[in-house]
Amino acid sequence: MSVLLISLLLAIIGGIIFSIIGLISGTDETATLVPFTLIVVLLGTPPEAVFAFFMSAILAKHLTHAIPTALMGVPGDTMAVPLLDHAAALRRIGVPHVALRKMVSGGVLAAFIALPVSLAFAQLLAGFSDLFKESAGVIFTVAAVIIAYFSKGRYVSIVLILPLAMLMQSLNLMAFDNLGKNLSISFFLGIAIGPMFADMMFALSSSARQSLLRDRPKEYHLAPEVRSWSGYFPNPFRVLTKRQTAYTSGAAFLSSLTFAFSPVGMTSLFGEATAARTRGLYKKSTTSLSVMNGVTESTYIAETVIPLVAFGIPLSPVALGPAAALFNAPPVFTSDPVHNLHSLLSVWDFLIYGLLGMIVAFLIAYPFTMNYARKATVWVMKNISHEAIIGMFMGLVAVLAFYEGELVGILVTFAVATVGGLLNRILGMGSGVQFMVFYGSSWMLAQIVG
Amino acid sequence: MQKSEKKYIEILGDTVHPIHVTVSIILCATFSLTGFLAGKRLFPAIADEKMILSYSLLLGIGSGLAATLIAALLFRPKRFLIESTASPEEIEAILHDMQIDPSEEADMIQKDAVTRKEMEELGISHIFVGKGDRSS
Repeated sequence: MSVLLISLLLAIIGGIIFSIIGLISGTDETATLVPFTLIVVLLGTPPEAVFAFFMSAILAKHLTHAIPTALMGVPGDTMAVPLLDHAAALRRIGVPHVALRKMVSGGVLAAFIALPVSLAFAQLLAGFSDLFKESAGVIFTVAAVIIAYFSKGRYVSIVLILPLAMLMQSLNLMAFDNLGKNLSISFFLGIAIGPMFADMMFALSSSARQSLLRDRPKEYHLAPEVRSWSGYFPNPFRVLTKRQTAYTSGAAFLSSLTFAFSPVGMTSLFGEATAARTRGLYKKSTTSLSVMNGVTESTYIAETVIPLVAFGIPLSPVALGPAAALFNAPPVFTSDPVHNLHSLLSVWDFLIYGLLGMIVAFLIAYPFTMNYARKATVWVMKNISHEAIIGMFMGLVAVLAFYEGELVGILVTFAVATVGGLLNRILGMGSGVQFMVFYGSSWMLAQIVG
Repeated sequence: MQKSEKKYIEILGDTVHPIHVTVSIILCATFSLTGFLAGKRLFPAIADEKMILSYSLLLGIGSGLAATLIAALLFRPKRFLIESTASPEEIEAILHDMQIDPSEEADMIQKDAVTRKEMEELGISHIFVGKGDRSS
């Protein structure tokens, strides 16, 4: 099969899977994207197709995550959290479908601006790439400190960098003794499922269980069906007013140049800036939602593409989380030394296959969202239990860890998930910090212990 | 603490039954690993050597997804879906609640041709007009 055909096929698969995952409220991006991308990479997929898959997956997920956000007031994922207030305002006055249309159109517009802009910016930064590659260890360590400072736990996250690095290196040493090779997939799977794992441990603990016990199932309030178009789906560029198009494009452009900040933070920032410049509830909410969902797309794309194309080492919260497998998926991709999409694809490949992935995702997720948003939500809510979803992720993680390091891999994953999950849930040391610590750990300990 | 009735736990933002989620995890993990190990036994006979691991992984994932399907059929979701329709009176109360004056908002929309046209096209121009003027 030709590379183009495989890319197209994988983009379709990614678009369909992640359109569905976007519908399931609360699905964490890292926990869902990392295992699926790893699978695609490890199956020996050509790098072009890996990138097309990833781009299709993130665009599709960020279009359909607007559905639970608009229709039920439940964030589709963490990226959708800043959109809740405005979405809730429109839902309460009975026009959730307008909120949905604005979000989805803003997202599509921003995505197609972000890819070329961030590629161009990456070209500018690529001049420094050798410097970055040579000093990767230092950079990871400094970045760990910076990200730790901005994490929820702040000082405790900084203080715990070294102990956590030591823990990870000891686990790795143990794995090396047993398997004769270093592990890494097992580590970042552990970090990715940490928060979910922490909840399960709370549930198993007779002293901690109280905080998770509920006397009845969770309630979801679903807005009624209001469909004001029939038979066709509207052109996304006509859904937005001229002013909304201009604001969304501007925000997409600017946020594509920032690749080291938290995407959720950027989304809130641009949303607030827009809201402050707009008067009237309806106009304020619709304009902010277009801009904000646009920024969720553009920061995601920029934070993946810029570090990937310019340096090949994961230097942004997204690159360390959901996009981690594009940088590091041994034995296929490694980031130290750099042998991943950065070295395997040209800028034109990134542009062409990225666009291919995004167009496919658009063709799948956009009409789906416009026509079946409510039906699909009801179906998922009534038929797919959370038990099955948790089971699926635990199954995926188990088989991927076993693939990398057999039983040792599984043990490492669960050890990391235990420690990482509790640090995350109790002390606010986020997954991003933990990923950075993992990447920087060998350098840190080499400096200290020698 | 009354512990008798609290039979659900909340994991990652949704309620599950503790026994169901345990069974589901065991089911999916067992299926996935069995699929992978079976693949490692079977594929050497039929596949190219360097593809054995990849195919086995695929088989493992496939059986994991099959287990997910079984778990979804075995365990029904623990959620309440409530359909909420807001009446014009409720909308007014909600607007009041959000500290928005409907007539001021309506006035603002009237003066803004673009927004007015958009709301008319969507058939939602009645929202801020108040009671009695519901044409959609």
